[in-house]
Amino acid sequence: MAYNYQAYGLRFRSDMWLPELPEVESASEEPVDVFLRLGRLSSDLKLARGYGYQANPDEFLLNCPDIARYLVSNGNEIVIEPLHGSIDSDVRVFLLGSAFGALLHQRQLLVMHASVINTPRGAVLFSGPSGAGKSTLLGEMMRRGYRMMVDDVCGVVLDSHNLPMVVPGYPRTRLWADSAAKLDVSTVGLPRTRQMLDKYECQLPDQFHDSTVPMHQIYLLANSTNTELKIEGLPAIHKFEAVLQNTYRNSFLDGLELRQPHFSMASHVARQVPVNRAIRPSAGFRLTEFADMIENHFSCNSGDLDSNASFRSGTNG
Amino acid sequence: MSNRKLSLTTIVVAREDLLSSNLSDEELVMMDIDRGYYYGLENVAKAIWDVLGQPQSILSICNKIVEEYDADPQMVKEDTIKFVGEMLDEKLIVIYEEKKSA
Repeated sequence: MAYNYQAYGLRFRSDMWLPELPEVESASEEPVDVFLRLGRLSSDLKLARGYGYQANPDEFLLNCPDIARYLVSNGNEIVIEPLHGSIDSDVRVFLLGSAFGALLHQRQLLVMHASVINTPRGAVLFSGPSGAGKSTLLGEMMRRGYRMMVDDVCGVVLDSHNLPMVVPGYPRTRLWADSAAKLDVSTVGLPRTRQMLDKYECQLPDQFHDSTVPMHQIYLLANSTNTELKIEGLPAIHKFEAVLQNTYRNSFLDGLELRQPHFSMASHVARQVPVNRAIRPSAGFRLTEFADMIENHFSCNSGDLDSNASFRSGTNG
Repeated sequence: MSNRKLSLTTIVVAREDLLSSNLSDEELVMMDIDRGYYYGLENVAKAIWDVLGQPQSILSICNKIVEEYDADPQMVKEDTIKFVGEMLDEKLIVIYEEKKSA
């Protein structure tokens, strides 16, 4: 039994059931881009103990103890070997995270760690370290009527004029229980992301934008000890640095020998897309105000550096 | 820090195998692929880098900067020698050995 899925503009045929991904008709004429196979991996692939990976330009092997091993090859195949006693949902977390990240790197997309919404002016990315509030802000923007494109692993391509474009991922977001509560999303009955985490999977097919969109703005989410909420535009060199720092699993690039194409794509983004630091106080999330400020910024901003602004609460009604 | 002797007649040139990309007229990023290091250059630093595609004496670099920025020649000399030393330390440029003529 094989399942057929669509994600990142690619058609997948999978031995494994993946409820996170939208299913597509199997009778379609479209060729399969990526095969996801269950299988045993050769034992002579030597790996460091513990969580780890090894890579050469064509192959990427990821080891997750007690969960699974994954071999990602040539951007068109992932062999998954679930380990004894593992839980399918855990196997899927690392498949859709690191293994998909490696797959997109191999296909030479620029892979960023971001949540993305579609807006009338283009794709808006929320980036930043884990825990910065990417998914929470994504949830708040969806509550305001924006459609999601990506949560977590974001693929970017250049169009024929070298303009950065965001490829839609799949219609699934993850929320921590407290964030879900803030957004009036009930977690009752929703699957947990991993057994031990208080993080829930929300499937949102009606609020998904499923075509490729030019990149409009990037917001790096950051905390500060100040009480002010503000947005600062970055100069180009810092934009470049931000793209590097927010490249998904940046270290994979070395083994895959993809530093050179990555450098080129990152500089196109730094040249053409405004990157802003969106700062909120570390004390108290102030989600509504923070989202007001960012929504206001991407709605009326073409992204020029001279339009930096700082916002005070209440300015946006 | 480098303790090599640099003089105005020292000839230097950019390494050929660095990746570089202009982000704007005043900003450039480069990468040393072998070492995995990234560098950003702005303004005068970028202007100096831009002439180092060809072997240049430090004096010739200084003259170009003085001309372009209408700057104080003595200050430009000091700053340029310091910056060239830093770029040599980072192995972004090399000292150009001219063919010894017989």
